[in-house]
Amino acid sequence: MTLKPSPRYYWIGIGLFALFFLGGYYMGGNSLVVKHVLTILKPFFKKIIGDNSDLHVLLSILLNNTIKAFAVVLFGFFFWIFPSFFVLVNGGIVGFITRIFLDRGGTFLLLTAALLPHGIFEGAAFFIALAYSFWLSTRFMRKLTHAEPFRPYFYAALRAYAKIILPLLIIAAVIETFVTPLIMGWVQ
Amino acid sequence: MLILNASTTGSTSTARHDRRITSKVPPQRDFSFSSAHARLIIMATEYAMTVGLEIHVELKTNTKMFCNCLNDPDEKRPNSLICPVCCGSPGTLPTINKEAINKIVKVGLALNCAIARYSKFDRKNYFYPDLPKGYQISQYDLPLCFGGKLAISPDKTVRIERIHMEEDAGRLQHGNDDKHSLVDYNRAGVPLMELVTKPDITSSEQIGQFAKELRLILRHLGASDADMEKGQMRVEVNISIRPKGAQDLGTKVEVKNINSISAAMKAAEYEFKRQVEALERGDTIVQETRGWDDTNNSTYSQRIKEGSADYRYFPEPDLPPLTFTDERIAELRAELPELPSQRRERFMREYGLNAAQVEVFTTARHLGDYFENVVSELGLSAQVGKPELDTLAANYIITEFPPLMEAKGLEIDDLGGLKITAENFAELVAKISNKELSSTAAKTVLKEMSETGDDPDAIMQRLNLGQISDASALTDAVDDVISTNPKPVEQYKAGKTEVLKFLVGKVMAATKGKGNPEIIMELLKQKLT
Repeated sequence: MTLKPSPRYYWIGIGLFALFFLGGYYMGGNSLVVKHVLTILKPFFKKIIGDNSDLHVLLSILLNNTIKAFAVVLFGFFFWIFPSFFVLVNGGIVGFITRIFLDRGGTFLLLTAALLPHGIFEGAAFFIALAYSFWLSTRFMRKLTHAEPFRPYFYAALRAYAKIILPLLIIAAVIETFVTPLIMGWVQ
Repeated sequence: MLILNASTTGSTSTARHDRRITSKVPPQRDFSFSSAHARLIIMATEYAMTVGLEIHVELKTNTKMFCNCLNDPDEKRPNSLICPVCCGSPGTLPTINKEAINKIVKVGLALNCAIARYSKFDRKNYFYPDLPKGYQISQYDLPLCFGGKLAISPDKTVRIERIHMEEDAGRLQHGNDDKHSLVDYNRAGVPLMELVTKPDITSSEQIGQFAKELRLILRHLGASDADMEKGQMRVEVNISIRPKGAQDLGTKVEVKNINSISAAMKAAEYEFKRQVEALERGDTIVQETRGWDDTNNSTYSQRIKEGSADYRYFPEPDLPPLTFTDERIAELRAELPELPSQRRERFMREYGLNAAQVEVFTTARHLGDYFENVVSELGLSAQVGKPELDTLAANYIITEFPPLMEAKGLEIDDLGGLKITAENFAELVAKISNKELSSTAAKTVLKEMSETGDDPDAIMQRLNLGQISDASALTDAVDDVISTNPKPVEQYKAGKTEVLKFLVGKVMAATKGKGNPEIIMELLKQKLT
């Protein structure tokens, strides 16, 4: 019995992300949508950047991401709903922001500097969490339709969260807090 | 990257669950974007101001740039300082004013510019009634100075692209009836320096800092009085905006008709706001020249900006090129006076003054020079090695002199009219320091000095203002105050020590302000314990 998702689950996550990224990118080109969305979102963004200490930012990013990743893994069993919605929102927002940033004169280099250093680790954690989530969903359906055991898969997913996803998120949060701003400064 | 939860967009059961889980997240993270995304979106949606300045400065020379007409900005009679050369009569030939060239080179050296070893003049062709020749002699591709920089604060330096020489145009006065305009060519041909900065300025405050520092340097060099209200220094603000994350500069708008530094700052702020609003509306910014309306604090469109091709520049055929040797540049560099930045540094180092005091003595240079004379006099009177005397002298000059000068209707640089010689003032400072004079009495003496020009000793004798520091001479007054104020005395003895000041005040009043307050306080303490 293999207690890890097969590659196709990773490809499903990556594919859906790419799809919703393109959707977000497309929406980012609509000035009315942009205006409306930014009116709502900008105050939140400003609050996030605020005058918080590095440690505060680090802990906030880490806490936020670990909880969300855990939720993805944990609720994945429920018929793909949560991971699908999760990847829709995240892919869409990344595409949306990318479009706005590039449309307004931002360079691809700066965009890469902002996303890539920590994104390598956070993206990996994100797609692993999604893969386990989709995989658990399939296993849960097998349990309902074929009365196959589900618990070992669930525990395997939790172990993967603790051993792989969580460390990746910690590394990503550290890089995002301390390294990304420096690189963005250099690039600018 | 990000991990964004559905709780931000929907109300599914999982989202509700997640909100409960994340309730412990610090408040500013209730919206779950990672900070990199926040930075990106802020960089894309907030705008940065980019400003370059073009500053025209009329140089203070005896004669105009290319003829022998006097360069007198105070001449009120229109068209009285003109000749066939500056009016462009056919057959006349211009000659270069060496004094103006020397001054502009000195400005360039003061601003850390490179000086061109070879330069030339060009004709800038355009028609306007204030330009009698139909062209302006200017410099196009070979300016006299280039590649300089000016530090406007410890952490901000503005690069200077070029400084070139040209001649000023005449002055137009438009009639109220829209049927006629008057022209005065007194200003036509006055040497005009144009300084162009790189677009390094990012706020209206920096515009003010740059313009003030440049003005100070020009005045220190004696290159110009740079009085903006008289049009001797004219600032044009070239402003563009761009999203903070954008690399390319936005469309440049030039704002003219600015007659003060504060107006330049206001113009930049107004233009920034106007351009942001235009872009947010989806409009595009047009490259144009706008005027500043000081009454309404706004800008208005004047004309679409010309390109250099519109002016059909070509080398001025009536003037020879300019060449500079290293020796000549070294000579001019040696003639540079102490610059404001050097003066600030020296005043702090030599006299231990604080930044505010140093700024006053740098900006109001005559006060600073006077202060140095006073310090020199204090040194002669064997007060060397007492930095507190320097500070005391600085404080009195900065706080007491301006009101005295104002009362006499004097300008800040007309210290001679105040009649207080550096020698007499140094004597006064020494007396204050030696406690021969109370601060109240010192002010009275200073005022009298400004009226009569007498020395402090003579005034103190005449007005009987010497400070009483002899304890035995104050004892009677102290005893008298103690006996006539039993209640405060009781309060002091009961531990209410602040009452002592009240009693000191009473003794001071009894001695008509001549008692030394420190001695009085000591006597009171002795007698009340």
